Parts: sequence; C-alpha cells; structure tokens
Amino acid sequence: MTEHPYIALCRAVKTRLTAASEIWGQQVGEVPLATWPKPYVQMYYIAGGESNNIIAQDADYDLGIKVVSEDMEESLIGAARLTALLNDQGVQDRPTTYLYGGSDWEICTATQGRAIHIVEPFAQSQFFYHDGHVFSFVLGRV
Amino acid sequence: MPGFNGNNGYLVIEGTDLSGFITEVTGLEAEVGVEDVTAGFGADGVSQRPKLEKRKGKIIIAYFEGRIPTYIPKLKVGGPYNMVYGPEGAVSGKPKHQQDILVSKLGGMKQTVDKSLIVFEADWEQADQPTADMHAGAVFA
Repeated sequence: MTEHPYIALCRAVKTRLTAASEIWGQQVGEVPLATWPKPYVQMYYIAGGESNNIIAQDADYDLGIKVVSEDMEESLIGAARLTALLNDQGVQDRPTTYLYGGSDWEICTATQGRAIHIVEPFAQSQFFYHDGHVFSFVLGRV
Repeated sequence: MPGFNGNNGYLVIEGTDLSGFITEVTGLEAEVGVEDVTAGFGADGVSQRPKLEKRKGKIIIAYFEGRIPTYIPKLKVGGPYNMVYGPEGAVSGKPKHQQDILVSKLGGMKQTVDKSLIVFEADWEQADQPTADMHAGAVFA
C-alpha cells in the first residue's frame, strides 16, 4: 500500500531536524508535548494535497515550521538553522544530502517562503517567541 | 450516460508512448476552407462547397527528470511523425485518431525561481490526411 505523502514528508522533515545536535534536541512534532522544555520545533499543516500537475500521483504541501523559545535571539538562531537544514533540500534542488521521502515518494523540491514571527505573551512581561518559515514541498511518486 | 471528463489519454508518436507525460492535448482542430460554386443566372444566394480539410493541435508534456531525452526528440520541430491519440485510452471501441503530423513549433519551457512544473508545448499541423479520423467516428479495433 502506498504511503500517504504527508506522512512521508513529515517523517523526512523530522528526521532531518533531529539528525544532529540542535538547540531543540529531539523535540520536533506537530503537537508539542506539555513536558517539552523550550526551545522546541513545531511543524504544522498550512495547505496542500494532490497537485494534479501530471497524470501520475503528485503532491505539494506548505508547512509552517518554527522554533518556540522563551528567548527571541534563540528562536531566531533556531529559525536560521531551519533554513540551513530544509531550504533547497529536495532531490531536484541538488543538495549534498537530500530529504529522503521513503520508497513511495520523492521530495522533489523544498522551498523556504514567508517568515513566521509571533510574540506570544504568557505572563506579565513574559513572552514566548515563535520564529521560522513557511516551507513549500513538492512530492512525486517514485 | 455521463459526459467525458477523464484525463487517461493515450498518445503515441513514432511508436513512443507519451501518455504518462501529457499535461494537455488541445485542439485536434479541423479546418476547411469554402469555395463559391454558385452557377448560372438568377441565383439569389451563393452556393459553397468545402475545400481540402486540414488539422492542427497542441500537445503539452511535462519534463520528467531522467526521462526527457527519451521522448522530447519525438516532438522536435519537423517530421512527419505518426501520431496516435485516444482521449479514452487505447481501448477497443473507443475513439481513435491517427495521422502524420509536422511539429511546427516546440517551446514553452520556462524554468522559474519558484520551482513550478516545467513543460514543453508542441504545436503541430497536418502532414497527411488522417488514417483514422476521430471526427469521422474512428475507433480502436
């Protein structure tokens, strides 16, 4: 049975973001656990699905991927790491090591778009900082 | 019986199956000129008859990494190339169009910073009259 492309994409992104020692450690997911200390990475669906650009199966997704921290400098440094780890990392972007989508899907392109910057108040004079980007991914069936 | 909306077309040019690469087949446009054949005195209006028919169309195919060298030469400008087209696939009893074509223009390639799908657009014109004419009701055997 063919894997759902969204699963393939999320796994590839999470694998890339947790492969080395980063400020967020292994804390990468769609729903951050309450037990996670900051900083962590939250990735979430914005738009996408079947592209219908070609007759074969294809898909494209926009994901919001951001670092959440109690310190804005840290969240911005994390956002820059997200760029380094994900932007232009699809197979057709010709990176050194491309995002691997598994045996059913190829992640053709990975493209950084608009910035995410949210300042979230949570207590008097205290804030959480969310910094990252919208990434657009194009996938094709292997 | 529903109207036809399918995208599972069949397109073979010079024996190479391009079906999986199609993004659009448009036109298959038949044209005919008209000739005034009004004769005699006292006619109140013209009589006209058709001249020779000709067909033309456009094929848009996607650029598939690693495979483009195998099929883009089939749409290189020139010809004639034998084309077989079936909008509902090459299924017995389904419409078939077959004729030799000349590719008069091959272009449309556009590589962009935003990484959109790259396609080629080929305009074709009739090289010879159809051997199977979909407009005349031809079907796959």
